[in-house]
Amino acid sequence: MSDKIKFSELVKAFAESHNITQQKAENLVRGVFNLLLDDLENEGKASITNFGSFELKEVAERTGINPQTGEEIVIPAHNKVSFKPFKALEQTVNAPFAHLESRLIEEDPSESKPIPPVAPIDSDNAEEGDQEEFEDPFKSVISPEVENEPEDLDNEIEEEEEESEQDEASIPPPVYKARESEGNSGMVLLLIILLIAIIGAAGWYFFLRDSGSSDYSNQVADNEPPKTELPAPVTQEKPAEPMPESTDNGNNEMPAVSSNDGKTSAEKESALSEKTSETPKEMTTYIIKKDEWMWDISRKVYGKAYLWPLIFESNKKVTDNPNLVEPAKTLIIPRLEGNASALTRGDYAQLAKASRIVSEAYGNVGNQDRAAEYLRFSKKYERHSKN
Amino acid sequence: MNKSETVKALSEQLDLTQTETEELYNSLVKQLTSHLSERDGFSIPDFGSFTSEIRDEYKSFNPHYKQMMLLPKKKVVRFSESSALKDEFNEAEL
Repeated sequence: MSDKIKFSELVKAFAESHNITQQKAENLVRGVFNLLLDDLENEGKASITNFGSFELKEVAERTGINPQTGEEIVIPAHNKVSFKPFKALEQTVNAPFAHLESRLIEEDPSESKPIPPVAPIDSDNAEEGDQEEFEDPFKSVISPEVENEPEDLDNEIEEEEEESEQDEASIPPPVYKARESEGNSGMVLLLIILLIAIIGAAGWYFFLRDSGSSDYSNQVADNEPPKTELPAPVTQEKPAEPMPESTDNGNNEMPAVSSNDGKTSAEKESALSEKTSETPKEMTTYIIKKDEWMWDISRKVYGKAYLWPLIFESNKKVTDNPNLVEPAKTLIIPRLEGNASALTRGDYAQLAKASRIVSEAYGNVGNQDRAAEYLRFSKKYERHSKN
Repeated sequence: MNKSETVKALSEQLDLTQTETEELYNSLVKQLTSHLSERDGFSIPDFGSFTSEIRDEYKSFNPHYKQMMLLPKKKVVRFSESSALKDEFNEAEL
């Protein structure tokens, strides 16, 4: 359905608006285009001011397909008049859509290319890609965890879990390492296998407990909500146990560091300690290896990468640039009150403070975007610490 | 041929002063533009037709960002020659 104006209407409208005869108007319009034709014939190109330009173009011979019969036909070389509107015309015509802007389409993770380890953070695009790639191993680890949580675990813990997950997703890594991207698929596979083993062990444990034990105190502890005067011990009761474990196991191939802290309750049964084989919890120092960043170190030490501001805060003397960490230096690893999967209010307060320091450090280094980002995180953690 | 030459030639054809002709010429261009922006276009006998149509949004590779971009929809002007115009420039070769 076309709303095209007819030539007669065009001439009539023009004549009326300028108080001239229609004959004269038609002569004018035809005159304009006849002059245009002359120009085209003589020079091969012509233009109308503020409207557009015409050019005579040669089209080479090509083969096409007759849409009716489907057979190939040869379209002979010919000349063609092409038209190109001038900017004034383009803009006037496009006025209703002028506000629209082109935008980036989210890239596939596979397309993003990792930046070299020592490169300073300068390109936002590369980071975005990196971030996506970085998340992947975590997602695959964490989502099964949430599914496998014991039923009697309080909902609030689950919520907190999800929030901290989002934290992780929203915090881009300071610097991304190429080495990691190559090992990603292998690592994910390994983690899945480990998870299956843990689920089996946990199932065995619950089976044992249900049939064999009638330990009253144990059950009481299970049913207690985590929001009591002693948040740390309660959240570390058995129901929560499979989660820190799995994150711990995810890092098995890395140096033997622990993500749990040591305050497991005395009620702990021998069956449980047997299968968790926990490492000593007083992990206070860490020697930096090559190509390691606080983001990675935090993931190895706590099991969660987003806790790295804590490490940075404790090591301000060693480094004041969050992006640069020199190998072979020793970092002090602060301890958490709760554990990485269930932070206490104190931890959140500490994290808020640490994030603010990271924000300042980024500000000093000149990365204002990052500074603002971590200031935001800091406020978020502060909110958590008060709830 | 630039605008002043065109106006001069037109004023001779129409028997008008050059100032008058230039005014008419300017407002003709304005009117043709409004036909394209407010309606679907117009056609000139023995020359061709000008139409404006909405080009849908499309994806394209941006070499600067090295990423795919989604380009928004846009109203564009198209021109198609009349058969008389086609013949005019192709007769000799056929």
